[in-house]
Amino acid sequence: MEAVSIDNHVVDRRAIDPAVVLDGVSRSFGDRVILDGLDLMIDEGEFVVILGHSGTGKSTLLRILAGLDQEFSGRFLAPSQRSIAFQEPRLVPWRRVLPNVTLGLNGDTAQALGREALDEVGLGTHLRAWPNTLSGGEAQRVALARAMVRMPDLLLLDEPFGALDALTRVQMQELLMELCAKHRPTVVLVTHDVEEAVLLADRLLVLDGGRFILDQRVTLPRPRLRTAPDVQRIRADVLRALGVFDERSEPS
Amino acid sequence: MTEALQGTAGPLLPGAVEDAPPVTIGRTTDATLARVSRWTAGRPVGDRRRRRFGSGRMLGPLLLVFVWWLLSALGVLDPDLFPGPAEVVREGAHLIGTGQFHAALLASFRRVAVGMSIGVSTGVSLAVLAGLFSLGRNLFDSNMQIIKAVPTFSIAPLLIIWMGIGEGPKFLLIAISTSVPVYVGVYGAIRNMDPRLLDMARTLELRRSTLIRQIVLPGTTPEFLVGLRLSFASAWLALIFAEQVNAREGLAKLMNDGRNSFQIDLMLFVVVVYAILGLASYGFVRMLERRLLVWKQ
Repeated sequence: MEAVSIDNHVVDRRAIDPAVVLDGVSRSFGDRVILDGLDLMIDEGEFVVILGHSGTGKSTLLRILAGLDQEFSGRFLAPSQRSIAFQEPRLVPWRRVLPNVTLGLNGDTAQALGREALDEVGLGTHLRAWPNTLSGGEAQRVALARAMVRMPDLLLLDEPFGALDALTRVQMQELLMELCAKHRPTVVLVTHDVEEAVLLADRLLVLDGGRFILDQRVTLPRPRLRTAPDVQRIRADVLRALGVFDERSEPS
Repeated sequence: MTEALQGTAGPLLPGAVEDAPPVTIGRTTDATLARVSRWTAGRPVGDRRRRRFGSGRMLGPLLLVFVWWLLSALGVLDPDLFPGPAEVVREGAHLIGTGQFHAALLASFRRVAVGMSIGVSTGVSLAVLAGLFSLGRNLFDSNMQIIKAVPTFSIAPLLIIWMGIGEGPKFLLIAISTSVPVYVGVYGAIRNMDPRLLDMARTLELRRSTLIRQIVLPGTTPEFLVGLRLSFASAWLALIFAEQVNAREGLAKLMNDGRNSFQIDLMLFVVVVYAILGLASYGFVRMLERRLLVWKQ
């Protein structure tokens, strides 16, 4: 990773304002070291995707960033305005869609903000629906609206599309790109899906053995096509870093 | 035929079939068509529309009354020891006419209403305190388990010794019996709250009061209603015990009158009234479930 001095005022501010700084963050469960002294700096507005095998601590890192896991050592800096969306929508079943989105928001504008957020995810007509009546994709849209309505500086996404069918997943990826292009939050997304990672990321990180073993910027223009050779090339790189050799992605 | 098939294939893949050639699935024989139209025209699997209480659900009790009437009419039941429905209805009409029934029902109803109000509100309050605070748990939970374990009716004589033979011990007996089921339900619901939902609430940085009012307490409604249903059952049972001693008015008094004057039709009438009250409270809780648990359907 390129070292940037935060104290250097001469450098263009936008380029160096870090949204997230990890400084030697470690986390163990019993004897098992899951995260082993992670250092990381994420720029404001950057879309970072973290990949890794199951059990490599991706979600643990995200929980630490969300403030849900306090049992770590080391330090990190993150914006106080953060939102998280999980693999399951985690909607409150006994609140209708709009009150789910505005949960905990105060003030006269809460309702209007909630409506707007639901409009943006295409559910402006479902304000009074019960969560149980929504499809998996719709419920996840509500979860996304609930995250976005707080206007987060940092958006944390823990395999948000992992439980969705392939068609819905593609739609949700497009929706996420739209929302991010509009609101420009810093995003940390955890996923198993390498293709999804390459399509979405400004920067790819692969976590293995408690450390980042790959840190790659993806500068391809958007929207990216799954079939584009560049996308396939980066996908192959990442798979190789993960120790997976896919015939399809191996250059002959 | 093909039209019918396209009609069902269309909405399954929105947007994806616009340019696709018409879908044909093998040969559309009459048999396949019959199959298709059955699953499009039939009621959806797992249709959870609920029948209104009182429509189909009264079939069982009505059948019971019919069998009773039949056995009486056939002479299987001795009319002196087990009068038929007609005699019981006649006796009931008589009691209603003299105003005796009215007074008895009102007195019993009042006991259940007061006792249950105290019992249910106490049960819920203690469950919330024990569910949310460790001090509350240490103070109340074991005690509630003790009350659950001790047969409440065994302390009825003690209550009478301590509180006299007025309405007090009657209210208290019903209150104790009805507090336990709602306590168990609500306490369990709070303790078993989905931890993922609580995690989510933490990330939204909800104030504790908001968390309790908007997430924890509404989430206990299903278990509260299950508890309430059991509380009603306990209430009518406790009423019978409570009214055994010096009740000048009430359903048990009617029952005792019947026993003393060997009026079996009167006694059976009271039994029928208990049955109706039990069914009615069951219907009441079901009505609450329909209103309060719309989000579950």
